[in-house]
Amino acid sequence: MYRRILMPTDGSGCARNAMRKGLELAKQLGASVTFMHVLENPLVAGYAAPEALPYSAQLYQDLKEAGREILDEALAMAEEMGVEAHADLIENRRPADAIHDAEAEHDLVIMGTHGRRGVDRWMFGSVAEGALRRAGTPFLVIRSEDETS
Amino acid sequence: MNVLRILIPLDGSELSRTALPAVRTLFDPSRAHLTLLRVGEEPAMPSDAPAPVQVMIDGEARMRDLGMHDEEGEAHVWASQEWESARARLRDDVSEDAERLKEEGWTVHVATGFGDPAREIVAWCEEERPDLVAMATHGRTGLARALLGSVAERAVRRLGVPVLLVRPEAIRRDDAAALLDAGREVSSAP
Repeated sequence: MYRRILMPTDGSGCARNAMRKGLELAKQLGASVTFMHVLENPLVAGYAAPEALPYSAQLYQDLKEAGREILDEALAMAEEMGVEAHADLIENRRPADAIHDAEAEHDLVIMGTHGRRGVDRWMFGSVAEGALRRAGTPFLVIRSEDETS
Repeated sequence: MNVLRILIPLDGSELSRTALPAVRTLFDPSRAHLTLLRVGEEPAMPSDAPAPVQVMIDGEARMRDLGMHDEEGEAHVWASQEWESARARLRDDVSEDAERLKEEGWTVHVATGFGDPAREIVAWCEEERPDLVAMATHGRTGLARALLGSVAERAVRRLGVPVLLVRPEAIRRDDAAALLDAGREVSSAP
């Protein structure tokens, strides 16, 4: 059976470890992988303060560039491990919504979660939890160890 | 190719069994070994079980289980039998699923535990180091929530076992029906 795995990544420190484990699993399942990076609208997401408004366009371009690098790195890792992979850069969407949109075309969603105290509620970050709450696809949650612990 | 060792905790609820069709869909029987860990409540000891009595030994008061010191040691044997039959009931509860999976070519082990599901799952993971834990997000008492509760969460983080979470609603009706209703009375759904 041909299986497709969705791996959303935010490029955070925890993602690398989860990505490697996820790719190992993909290889074992003979699955192809879609890496997804989601860019939120800075104004909607609220990380551009009013005084930063003049720079928000530049900020968005920087984030977009960073997103491409994250995906390129992911594709390189997949190639190194011999896993067929594609990359999607999704713009102007909330991450949980983008994951929800994409999961229907996949058999499994693999997400890393971080252990930074105070950031994550329950076991997950808010994105993973928000996506899982509506999930129509099994979610594999890979908890990476806190780098500081 | 390595074989994936997958732990599937079950609490006896239908909801907890929704992890099964997900595992069947995603993995290959030839490349995965499954352990069904059925966690149940500790058997309740009846109220007529012999109460401990205070006895004087060398001038010192000690509590002794009267049953343990019966002529035949009867109460002691009786209590352990109670535990064994409780364990057998838990094994019985998952035997249908286990047999069905075996017929499909899966390698299946059954394990049992008593008490707090989270603690049992973590203890099993520490001992056996599975590659994956597959569970429903909802069970009898929120199986996943129990596992991901604060104490267990730290343990799972430390263990670093990937957890496959399946929402009961996520399972396609056919898949769910195929397994959930296997060998059971199919309730007449509207």
